[in-house]
Parts: sequence; C-alpha cells; structure tokens
Amino acid sequence: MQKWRRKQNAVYLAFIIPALLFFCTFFLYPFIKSLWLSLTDAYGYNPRQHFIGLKNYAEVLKNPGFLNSLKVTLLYTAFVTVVANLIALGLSFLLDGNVRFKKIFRAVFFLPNLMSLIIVSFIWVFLYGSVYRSFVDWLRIPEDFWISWLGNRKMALISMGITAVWQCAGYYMLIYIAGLQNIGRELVEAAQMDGAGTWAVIRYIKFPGLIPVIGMNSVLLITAGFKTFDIPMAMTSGGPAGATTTIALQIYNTGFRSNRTGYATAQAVILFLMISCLTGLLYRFQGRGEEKG
Amino acid sequence: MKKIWKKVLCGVLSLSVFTAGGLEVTALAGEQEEITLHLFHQKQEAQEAFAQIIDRFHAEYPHIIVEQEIVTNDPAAILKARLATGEIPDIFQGSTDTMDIAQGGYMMDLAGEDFLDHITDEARLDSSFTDDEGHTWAMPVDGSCEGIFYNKDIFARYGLSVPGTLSEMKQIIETLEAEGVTPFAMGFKDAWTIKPVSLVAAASAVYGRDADWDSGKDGGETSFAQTEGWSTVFELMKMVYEHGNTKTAFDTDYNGACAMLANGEAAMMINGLWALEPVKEINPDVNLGMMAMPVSEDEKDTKLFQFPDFGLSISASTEHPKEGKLFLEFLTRPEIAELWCSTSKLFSAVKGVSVDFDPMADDVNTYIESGMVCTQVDRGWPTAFGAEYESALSNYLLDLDSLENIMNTLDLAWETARAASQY
Repeated sequence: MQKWRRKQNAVYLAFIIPALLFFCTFFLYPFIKSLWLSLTDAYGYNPRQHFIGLKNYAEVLKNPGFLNSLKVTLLYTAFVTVVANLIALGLSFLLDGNVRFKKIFRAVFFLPNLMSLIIVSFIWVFLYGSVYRSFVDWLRIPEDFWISWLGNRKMALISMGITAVWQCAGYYMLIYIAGLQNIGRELVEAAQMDGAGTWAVIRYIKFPGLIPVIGMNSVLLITAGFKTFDIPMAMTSGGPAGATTTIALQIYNTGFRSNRTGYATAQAVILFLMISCLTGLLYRFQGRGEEKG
Repeated sequence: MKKIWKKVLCGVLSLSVFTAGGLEVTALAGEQEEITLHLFHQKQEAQEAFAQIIDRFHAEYPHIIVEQEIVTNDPAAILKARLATGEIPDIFQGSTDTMDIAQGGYMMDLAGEDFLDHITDEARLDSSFTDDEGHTWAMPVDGSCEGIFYNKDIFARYGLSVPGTLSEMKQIIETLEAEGVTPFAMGFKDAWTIKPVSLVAAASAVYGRDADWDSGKDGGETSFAQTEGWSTVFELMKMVYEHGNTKTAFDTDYNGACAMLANGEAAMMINGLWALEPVKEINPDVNLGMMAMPVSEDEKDTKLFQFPDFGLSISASTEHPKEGKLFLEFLTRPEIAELWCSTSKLFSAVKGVSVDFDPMADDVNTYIESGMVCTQVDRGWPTAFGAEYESALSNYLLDLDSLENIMNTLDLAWETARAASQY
C-alpha cells in the first residue's frame, strides 16, 4: 500500500515538475537574485559586485527624488482609483438597465482597453497638444487662458490620470456589470413592488451588493497605479521637473540611465513591499466586509 | 548480426563527418579563412554611409565580412544585455557608457595602435575615449558641437550681429522682443533639450576657464557651490527660458522647437549640431548660423562647445582582434573619413579632413581655427550624475528650489555618482 502511494506521489510530482521549473527559473530565482542585488553595489556593466548591507536602502529613504516619486505615485494612484471606480460604477448602472444599443455602448467604452498603453498615451499627447491648441484657437480664446495640459506641474499628473481613466474605465465597468447581474432579480423586483424608485434600488440594493466587487476593483486599480510606467514614460518622460515621475519610472531611470543596478533594485524591493502590504491590507478589509455582509 | 551492421554503419557515418571537416579545411587553406565581424551601433543616420564603407572595406579585404546592426531604441539597455550574456559584438559603440563598459573589462585597450596617429589629439585624448591612465577605450570618428543656432536672415533684418559679450546678447534679445520676434525656441517637453542650454553656457563660464574642473571637483579643491561660473550657467539658462516661448516651453517638444526655428517663428535655438537635419527637413531654405554663448563682458570668454562624438570600441573577447583593428584603421583613411562626414553632416576626428557639409560649418570652423572652443563640459561626468543634473535644471527653471540648495544638491549627487561608478 505504502509503495503504491509513493509511486502515486512520484507521478503527481512528475506532473508538477515542468511548472515548478518554470516558476523557479522565471520567478523565484530572479526574485532571490533581486533581493541579493539590492544589498550590493552592483553597477551597470560591471560583472562584479560587493555586499554593502543595507546602505542602498538607507540612501533610497533619504533620496528626495525617490520620495518625490513616492508622492507622485500615491497622488496618481488615488486619483485613478477614485475616478475610474466612480465612472465605471456610473457606466455600469447606466448600461445594466434597459438602454437602447447597450451592447454597442459597452463595446465602445471597453474599446480603449484593447489598445496598448503606449498608443493610448501618444493619442492623448496629440489631443492635449495640437488638437487642443487648434480647438481653442478656433474658439478664439486668448492664449493667456490656454491650459498647459502636460507642461504645467499641477496639470500634468491630472492629464496623465485622465488618460489612464479613459483607458481602463471600460474594463472595470464590465466587472461591475457582471457584479450587478449577480444580484438577484427578485430582490430588485420585490423592492420595486414596495415602491422603491430607481435611486432607492441603486442606493439600498445594487450598491451594497457591489461592495465586494468595489473592493476587488480597487485592489486591481491600486496595484496597477503603483506599477504605472508606460504612461509617464510616453507622455512626459516624468517631467516637468519630476512632477510625473512615478516610482517605476524612477527605478528605470536609476537602473538603466544612471547604471546603478543595485540601488535601483533596492527601490524595486521597496515598491514590491509596499504593493504587497497594501493588497494584503485591502484583502483583509474586504474579507471582513464580506463576512459581515 | 544486426548489431554488427549497426556498428559498421555508425562508424562509416562518423568517419564521413571527419572527412567532410577535413575537406573544408583543405579547401580554405589556399585562401584566407572567411570571417564575419559584428558591428553594433546606434547611428540610424549613418546606415547608408556605413553600408558604403563596408562595401569598400570588403573589396580590399575579401575575406572579412562586416555585418552592421543598428539599434536606436534604448541601445544602452540592449548592449548591457548582450554584454551580460556574453554575446558581445566585435566592434561596438559604447556611446556615453564607454568608460563604464571599459571598467567592466569588456573593451580592448587601443592605446599605441598606429591608426590612432591619424586622429586629432584633442579627439583622441578626450575623457570619454581615453582615461587618466592613458588607456584608449574607443576610437573617435567624428566631432559635433552644441551652440546657439540663429536665423541669419532675421539677424540681418534687424541689423544684428553675432554677440561677443553678455550685454550684446541682452541687447539682441531686447531688440528682437521689441520687434515682436520670439528670441529663443524651446522644446522642454523633451527634458533632454534643457541640458544643452546649460552646457553651452558652461563651456564658456566653467570649462573654458578651467578645463580640469572635473579633477578639481574629484579632488575636493572646488565644487559647484564654490564655482561662480556654475551660478552664471544657471542664471543664463533662466535668461534664455524667460525670453522665448516661455509659456509653452514645457508643452513644446524637440520637433516643435525645430519647427519654430525652421519657420522663422523664433530667431534662435540652443541645441547640438544634430538638430540641423530636422530643421532643414522642415525648411531646406532656412539660413542658419551657429554661435557660442557669451557669459561675461570679456569676448575671450566666449567659447563654443565642440567635442568628439561617435566612437567605436573593439570587444576585449573578440575572436578577430586583428580584423577589428583593420576596420578601425580603414575608417581613419582620409577618403573614408570624408565620405563619413559628408553623409552624417559632422566634423571629422581625422587629421586634415575638413568637409563643408553645410554653409553653417564655416561658422564652427571659425571657432575651431581660432581656438575658441571648449571640448570638455559633460564629457567626463560620472554616468549617474546626468539624471540628477537634468532634474536640477528643471527644478531651477520652475523655481522649485533656490540656487544655493541646487548647488549643494549637485555637489552631493556628483560625489554619490562618482563613488557608485568606482569599484
């Protein structure tokens, strides 16, 4: 019996091995190597590196550039998470009911999500730039009142956020629609029989039913927000004066432009820790919410 | 029985492999073995010139084939990956990372090679090609410059001439603004275009006065905070920023600024010689000149930032060092250097070769011939300092920090960057 069991285990193991190998080579090994690199003075083209303890981490936490990128990333993530959630929720309520051409609308709103972020960024650079300028010129608005979408430090981050929301809102709308369809029809009908209007149905039935989905979408939006790289890279290269340099872009610049591999890896490890703590916390809150619900 | 047949068959087959190999060797013994050199660079505009040069090289050395690979999108990252995986090109352009790559032990020291005698001393000894210990890690091929492009027709229209002093420069700006002409075109949306504005000033204000400023900084004898010239550089950069398309500077990109200059919407633009091509593409008839930035009331201070640009290195681990050197030698021949410079519109690093690729070349040659050039500026800066410097520039332009703080930040950033690159 025991021999049979051992044989059985060996078979299971044989099935796991390919996936395990893949996981170890492409995830575990690079991950451990990154942890090691972050404790060294690894530098660009130099094949040798020396252990320097936590010096890189100490430097990261003192570096104004990194702290600025942390602030930028938090602001950007907060903006995108709130606005994308609100718009996606609104669209899902609108397109869940009996609206004409609702399938076409859903497809239209989802469409930007199929485009690569780089292309989306270039489209919006074009919109904020020459399209906007010809438009206000056509309206004969004096130049003093023109908005500098990407050239102004305060506006640039918002402009980037608008681009991100435009690209992703359709995707989260679909998740909300799926969530809405999970809410029992009979609940809504019963409420309507009791005289609940559209607003009351949304307020007391649909919205509470969607809370777990809101939690999940927020986790997705926050992790995506923290990792944002493509949009600032393509739209502003992090400028003006660092106003749109996200942590991911900062890591890229440190590693690939300044050649400071070890230092950049320490920044990456900090980013990893932040994302995992945040998602961990959010999942815990969400889990509690669901238990209560 | 069957087994014996199998063994015999195996034996015969493996023998045939050996004989085939032997035949190949004997066939080649008569002539030289054919070899392929892998050339890696990032100069898109030089593709055609290189193709022609490679053909002529192959005609002279039929046994050497040179294959060029041009990578324009993030070449540094790609080269880094190649070096890390051991797939090192035989000949490659290290660009601004040359010294870092050399320290990693990937480059052959070219010092003492005969063909380097054909290269001008200033270019060969430039700190981005030859280090303090006399190792030459790359062979400079051409030279470029950064300065103020100006529209000669606009200058002529308002009776303006090339300024020698700072007050003359200010006078020009005043006249242009009074006439409703935008003095400077700026495309600061592309953050890299801010740096040339400061370098052009630093050529006169810092390095023109003290060519060894870098060593002084490394030795602790001087610093950004102590060098008055650096404050001048930042103030002049702000002067430029305040007298141009200031409101839209950070909304306009490099191409937009080139278009402003090309279409006569602005009288001047500060950038490198490479901007000549895009400007002329927009308006081939634009009449451009190039001048240096005055930084004081002494005309002798006004120097043009002129420097060796494109350089090639040989891999330390190449299997064909002899052939690699033959190719570099070929590039230093006058007729090849002329071909190179007339197609890529740059100055040659080869002695005695001067090409009038554009009417503007005359302006630059005047500076070179009178010795009013500065070749250093950012050439010897530690790599990791570049990004910090660029952010300091925009921080100052947008009033995010005081000049005093910025100078201290720069001092610290320099020291950190220098320490990081020394192992």
